[in-house]
Amino acid sequence: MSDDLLVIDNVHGGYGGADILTGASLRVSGPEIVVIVGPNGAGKSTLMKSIFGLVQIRGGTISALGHDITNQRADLIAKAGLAYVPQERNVFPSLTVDENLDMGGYLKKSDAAHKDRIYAIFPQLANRKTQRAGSLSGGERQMLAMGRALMIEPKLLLLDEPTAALAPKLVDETLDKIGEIKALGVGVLMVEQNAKQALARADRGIVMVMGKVRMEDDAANLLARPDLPELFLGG
Amino acid sequence: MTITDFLQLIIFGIVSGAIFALGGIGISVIFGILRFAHLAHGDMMTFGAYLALAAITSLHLPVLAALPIAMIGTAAAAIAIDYVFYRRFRQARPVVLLISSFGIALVLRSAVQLIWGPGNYVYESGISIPYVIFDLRIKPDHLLIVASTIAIIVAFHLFLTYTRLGKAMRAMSDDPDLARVSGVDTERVVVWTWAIGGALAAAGGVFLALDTQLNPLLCWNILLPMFAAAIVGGIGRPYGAIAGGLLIGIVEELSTSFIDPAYKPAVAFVIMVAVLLWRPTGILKGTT
Amino acid sequence: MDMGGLLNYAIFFATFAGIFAVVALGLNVQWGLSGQFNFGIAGFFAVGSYTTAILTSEPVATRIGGFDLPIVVGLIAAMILSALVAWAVGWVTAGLRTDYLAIATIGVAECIRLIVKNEDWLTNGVRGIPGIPRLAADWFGPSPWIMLLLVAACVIFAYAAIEAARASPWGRLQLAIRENERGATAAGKNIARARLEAFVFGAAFMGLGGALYAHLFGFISPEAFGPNFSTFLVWVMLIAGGSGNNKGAILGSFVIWLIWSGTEILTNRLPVEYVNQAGALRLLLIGLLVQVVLIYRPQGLLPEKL
Ligand SMILES: Nc1ncnc2c1ncn2[C@@H]1O[C@H](COP(=O)(O)OP(=O)(O)OP(=O)(O)O)[C@@H](O)[C@H]1O
Ligand SMILES: [Mg+2]
Repeated sequence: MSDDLLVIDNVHGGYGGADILTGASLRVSGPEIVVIVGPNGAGKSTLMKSIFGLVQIRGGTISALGHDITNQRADLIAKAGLAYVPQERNVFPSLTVDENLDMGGYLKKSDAAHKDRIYAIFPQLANRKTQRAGSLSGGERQMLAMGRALMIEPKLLLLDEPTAALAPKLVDETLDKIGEIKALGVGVLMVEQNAKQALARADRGIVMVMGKVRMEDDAANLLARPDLPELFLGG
Repeated sequence: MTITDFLQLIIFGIVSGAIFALGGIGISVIFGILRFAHLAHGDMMTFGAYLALAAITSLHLPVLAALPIAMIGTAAAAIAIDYVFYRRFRQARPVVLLISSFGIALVLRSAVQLIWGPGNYVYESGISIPYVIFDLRIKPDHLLIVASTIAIIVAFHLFLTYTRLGKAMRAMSDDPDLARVSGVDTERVVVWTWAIGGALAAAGGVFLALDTQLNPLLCWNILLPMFAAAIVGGIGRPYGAIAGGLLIGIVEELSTSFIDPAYKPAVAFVIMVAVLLWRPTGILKGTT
Repeated sequence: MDMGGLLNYAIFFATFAGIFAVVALGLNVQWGLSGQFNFGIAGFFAVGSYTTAILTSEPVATRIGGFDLPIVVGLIAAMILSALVAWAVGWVTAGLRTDYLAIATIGVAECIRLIVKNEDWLTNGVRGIPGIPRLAADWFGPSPWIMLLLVAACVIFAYAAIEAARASPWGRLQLAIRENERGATAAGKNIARARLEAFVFGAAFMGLGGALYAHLFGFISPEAFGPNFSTFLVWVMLIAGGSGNNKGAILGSFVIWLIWSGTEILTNRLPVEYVNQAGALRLLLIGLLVQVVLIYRPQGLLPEKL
């Protein structure tokens, strides 16, 4: 099924000790927004890292765009057309804004026109091209991280809590940007704590608890459920 | 101390500072990318100095023409050493690399002694007449060393700032995982790191040999000031190592008018320890 | 070689290996138990050597001492002085990260070497100190035997002291700090102090090894403490034997010393024009050997038992 962007099948894995992921499965097919919610420590970030080969997978398989990428090197996964914005440390602090974007476009050599499109999506970055990323505000940094990831023109974008630690006004702004990204034909798989706001803009939602997918449904159906908060808290 | 003596010492300090900087940059970059203190760096420089000697004696080249040969040869040797040894320890604890590089230091030093013998050599015999400007004596060799170092450092700066690979190196020393995620083949960056570290090391070695004499301990003897340069400049920051090198070089030379010159290496050591205790991130910390 | 020569050689071999074992045991406290790097072993070794040399040799006009004191006094003083130097060093460097500690200890050894080389009034400079008394006991036969006995006693003493320390609450604290430095920093002051104690304790045995060396050869000069031969060999011994394991430290000393001595037999067969290069060839082999050990048996012959 090569039109599936990402297929995660019964993945087990973790950081050396006991497995954190205990049989997680999910699928992203085509340019849709899929939101993962779940309690702290459920393994959401670990799942994202495992897709990018940064966490050892001990069982199950992950494939993307028709390639098996289980335990693949991260740079080769990027080459396959996936991009990833980690939850923390998602920009290169000593590089300038412009250089961060260059690094995002590392695989594409130089594509000035595309970089201009990114600056058009995130206009606040355009004023700060020569500023070091380490000196940006939290919101700008998050924008830069997304811009960096979009530079390789991915088919699928993984976002780990893009709105964490942002002011409420910025949360909506950021989530709207993610809608724009989808409109470019990019699939988005994102972990989000602001479940309601995220699901409102998503196509599907996934509830992850203790290393497994507990529930999966259309975003609208999930939003409509009165027991969403309990699901979210892992009750 | 007259003002002339003072300026004369400053000139000597700049010359040794340039050499420390060339070694210190390599130490700093290797630390930034591979996260370990490369203890074989001095002996890698010595190896480069002897490669130049080989080129000079066998091909009858002038020093400046032998320099690129030594730089390429040492870069290749550094890549080979990494490929055969260090590469196997990437996943191990960093201390393993410390011990391994200490061993490689010994291997390089002994190899130099086996091939070229334990004696002293000079590149070109004969005395060069110093230029005299306002009572300051400036040796032609010193001019050559400082000018070449500036040229090499400018080239290195352009590489780091404007090339794709240079940016990838800086990115990787910021955050290796994020670099990988961005599509950087980090093993390839590592190869280039050794190439650059090795080439700069060879240049430093050749210049020190030009200023003094070749012997198997040539650059092991300046390992401390070079690490001091890297640490003072904030290890992992190559530009800091340049400033650190100059600082250490100048302070070492000035110190000779107060204390026995035999204790010059101890001066670098004291500065280094003081910096480690006072500001472990280096006194020339930039804006990260 | 006749039987007598072979026996003498065996005694000398065992004595020298035993001296290294004492030093390797000292390093096993610093590194194996406490996880502190020390690339300046040669420095502490030199402090021990010169301490006993100055105290036990006969008076000379050109430098301080000698004081013609008994060897036992020299050995004890060597341990104390080496420990004091380690205390001063450790007091400054205790908080350093491993890689900085490695550089700093190289620097310390380098400074000690500079002092030894340049302070003629103390160490007689590059000429070295001759006439260091060797053990002799008529009632026991030729002196090589009694030197071996003394070294053996020191190995047993070091082993017993370090094993006891390791089993004590102090030793368990060291292990806890080594294994979980971040978690343990809650009581930061005690940790710095515990690390300093381990550094000093280990250095005392390095000084003892240096003193034994002085009495074995009867002559020392800065040459013997030159760039890192002894430091590196001791590290190879500990790693090959099994860092963290005291029996391993002793075993490693003998095995590596056997290999080291074996390479001498090998290099003696080289053509004459290479003979004066033999030392370099042997060092090269040892440098490669450590890579092999690190790649194929990083835990050593006798791995640590936790
Ligand atoms: N680098 C690591 N090494 C070891 N364990 C880790 C590491 N990172 C996370 N863990 C553990 O893995 C488990 C899952 O963590 P993970 O970060 O995946 O959770 P999460 O669902 O993303 O939570 P949050 O909402 O807080 O971001 C936690 O128990 C955490 O302690
Ligand atoms: Mg997370």
